[in-house]
Amino acid sequence: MGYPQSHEPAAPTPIKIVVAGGFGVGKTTTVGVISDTPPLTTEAAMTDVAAHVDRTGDVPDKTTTTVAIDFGTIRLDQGLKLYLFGTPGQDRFGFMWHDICVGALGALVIVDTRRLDDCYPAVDYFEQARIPFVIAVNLFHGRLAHSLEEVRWALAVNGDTPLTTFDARSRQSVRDALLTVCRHALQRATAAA
Amino acid sequence: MTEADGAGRRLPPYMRHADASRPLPDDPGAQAYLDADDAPRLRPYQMTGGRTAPVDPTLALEAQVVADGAVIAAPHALRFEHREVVNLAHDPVSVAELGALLHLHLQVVRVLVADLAAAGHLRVLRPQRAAATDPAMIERVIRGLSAIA
Repeated sequence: MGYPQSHEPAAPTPIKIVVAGGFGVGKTTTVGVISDTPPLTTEAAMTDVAAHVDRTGDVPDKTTTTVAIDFGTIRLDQGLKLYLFGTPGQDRFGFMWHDICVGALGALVIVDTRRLDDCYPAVDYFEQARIPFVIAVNLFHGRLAHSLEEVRWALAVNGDTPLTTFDARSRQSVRDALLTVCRHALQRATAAA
Repeated sequence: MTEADGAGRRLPPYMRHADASRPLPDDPGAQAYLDADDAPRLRPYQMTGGRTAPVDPTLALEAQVVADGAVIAAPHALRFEHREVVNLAHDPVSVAELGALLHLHLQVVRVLVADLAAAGHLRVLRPQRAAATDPAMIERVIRGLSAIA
């Protein structure tokens, strides 16, 4: 990597991992527990697609609807910064996913086994976009309601897709889940090379 | 989250400059002010002249931007909202972080950043798309993550 010509400080190389899953599944907790700084939220505005859906009749003040994107950062080394972006939980914000996911190293799809179908849109998206992803069952209260093989069957993901359990409240556990994503991405990258 | 504060104050752009209670960005209190929940909120597109499409629509969330030395030295030549972006970009910062720190919609930040970049006041460092599939880069991420205790 070249150095900037002027005296400007060198910018880190940004690398991105997406944290996806249904509403209330622990995405923000996951990002927050490992981020260097408290998670930040940026707002993205409604596009025309949603503008149509969200038209609320004669409410003149309602000109925009926003969707929050939570994200955190981890400085991995001197020149490398990892960005963790959470996808908006609701299906109807799916149109934003491309913006969030384009160029991602991989994705962590968080699953609550009591509401398995909440993660279907994420699984569909990453399969279609060919972004390496890992299914991570968040162990609420340390219990697994279904075995991982049952989860794999229910989600109909192929055998190459790693399935793991983790605890979104534990920094080490989140780190290990992210490492699983990286190793899966590495396998995919070396196979393609 | 509301767009106006408790007093229902909603300032149009031409009023912002006249608002004596609003500290300038180089004021030490500015960050605290920006962080405060009662900061006056504008309708987002009032700051961009109504445009929602950035000059450069491909500007990634994680793209790094850094202010040019000349504009850091003379930020007062800029419009207020451009100045706020420049003040946060003395060191490299991502588009997403700018959005969060300025409490602005992402599309608004993209428009402001693209304008500043087009004028030569900001340098935009685009993420290398190939990095995400480069085995050496992924191994570097693994090393970095593994070091987290």
